[in-house]
Amino acid sequence: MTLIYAGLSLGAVYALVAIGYNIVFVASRSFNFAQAQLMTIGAFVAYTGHVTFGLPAIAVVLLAMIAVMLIASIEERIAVRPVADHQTQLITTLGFGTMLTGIAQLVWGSQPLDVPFVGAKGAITLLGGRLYTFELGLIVLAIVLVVVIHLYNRRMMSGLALVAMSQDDEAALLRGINVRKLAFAAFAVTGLLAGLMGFFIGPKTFAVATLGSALALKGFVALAIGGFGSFYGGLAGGFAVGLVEAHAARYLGSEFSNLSVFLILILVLMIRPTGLFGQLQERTV
Amino acid sequence: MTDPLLTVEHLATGYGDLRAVWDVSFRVWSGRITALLGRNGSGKTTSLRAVAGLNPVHGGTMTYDGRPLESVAAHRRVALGVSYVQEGKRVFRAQSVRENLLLGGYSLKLRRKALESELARIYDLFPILHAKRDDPAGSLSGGQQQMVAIGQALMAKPRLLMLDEPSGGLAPSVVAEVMARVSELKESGLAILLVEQAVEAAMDVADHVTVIDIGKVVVNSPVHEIDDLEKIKDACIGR
Repeated sequence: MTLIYAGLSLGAVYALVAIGYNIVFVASRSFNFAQAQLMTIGAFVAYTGHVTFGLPAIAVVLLAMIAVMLIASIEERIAVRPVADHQTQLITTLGFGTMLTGIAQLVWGSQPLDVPFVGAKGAITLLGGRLYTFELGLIVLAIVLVVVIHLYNRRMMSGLALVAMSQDDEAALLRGINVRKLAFAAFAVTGLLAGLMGFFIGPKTFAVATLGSALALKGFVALAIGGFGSFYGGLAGGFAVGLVEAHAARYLGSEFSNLSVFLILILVLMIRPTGLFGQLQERTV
Repeated sequence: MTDPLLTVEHLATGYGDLRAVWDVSFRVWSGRITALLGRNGSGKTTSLRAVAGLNPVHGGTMTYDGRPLESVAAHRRVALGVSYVQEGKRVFRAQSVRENLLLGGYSLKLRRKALESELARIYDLFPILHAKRDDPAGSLSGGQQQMVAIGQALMAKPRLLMLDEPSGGLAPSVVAEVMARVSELKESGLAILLVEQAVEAAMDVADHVTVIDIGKVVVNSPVHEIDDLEKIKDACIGR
């Protein structure tokens, strides 16, 4: 059970990355490859808030969320909006992410920083296994976020509009939806959430400048397994990657953990090329 | 005759820098149908897209309800009452019929609860959509998808409804039904601009006809003054 918890909490981190990818993907059919780096910055800001300034947890969360939202807004303006097509955005967002990694290294150095969590980093016993409180927090956060986003996309008009945009942005424009504004809002919200996520992942992964690239890859695998655009898929994909990684490391040796993850990815894509929850979208013209 | 709701004069437009329409003028009146006809590639759709705000205007003027339309952003034109139903039944295929219709009312800026009560108008017009309200729009037949597309446009409470090939790809009996609904909508006071390949079906319901060819107007006349339908058909088919 302890091993499963370890896998699930690691998987929750990947699922959070996948959620970030998905929000931008749904809103603009493009990927924000700087998503994991945004989360990393969130973890660093959380560290600074906790350790350097000694702020209370709630203030730390708000600080991380606002800081990362601002960075994401800047990214949208300089790396997304001026770039017309989605393929090129893959490069510009990746470049922005690389820049963030570099800046993080300059500001916070290259040593991993231990980010504190709410209260002490205590372990609890649950259903015959042990896990840290921050690990439980990660799992709960990932699930709650996915459920909330799903409900938002089904119930709120702006959520419906986002899903509509992802299918046909011109048709959405003709229904009076301000497509550009909504795409920007989605970007800002991913930044806000990345800050929140950074607060939660920091205690698990530590804040380290290279964290971004490691998370980006696994988060993308989680997304591909789950299916692009599917939030439940991203959650399932994240947990699957985490569980496989944890079990492979335990039973086969840590050198096999990455290998097994990619093996699972290849298997899933061979059987269901659109991912577990993905849908093929045709469009008549 | 009353003032037209939409007056387009000497419109020049296209895609980016590419010019497809050189000099097109037409007018649409409340409670009347203007048919905009012409052969494939004559610039009908391009003209509609310019009115909707999807294509840039290179020259000429578009006056809607007494004010210039060119400077209004596309998504704001919907709130002014300009609704455009694109060719090819462009519904949001993955979303339910109900969600599609709700999105149609997006520009009303109402809460979802208030929008839900607006749905009845559309279900009255197209009862089949009520029966299919929870189905994904993409699973509907072509005719039903066309109803969803028109219903979406009507949700916005438009004053000007632009229909681009509503009969495209539909069976003849369905075409007749769609055209009957279009006539009903006219009676309710809507200004309708109808683009069609099906010349006779369009001429049956239209009050005014404008025929364009290679981006220029070749016929512009009230329908009752047209004595020779063959001339119109020739201009549209290009024999």
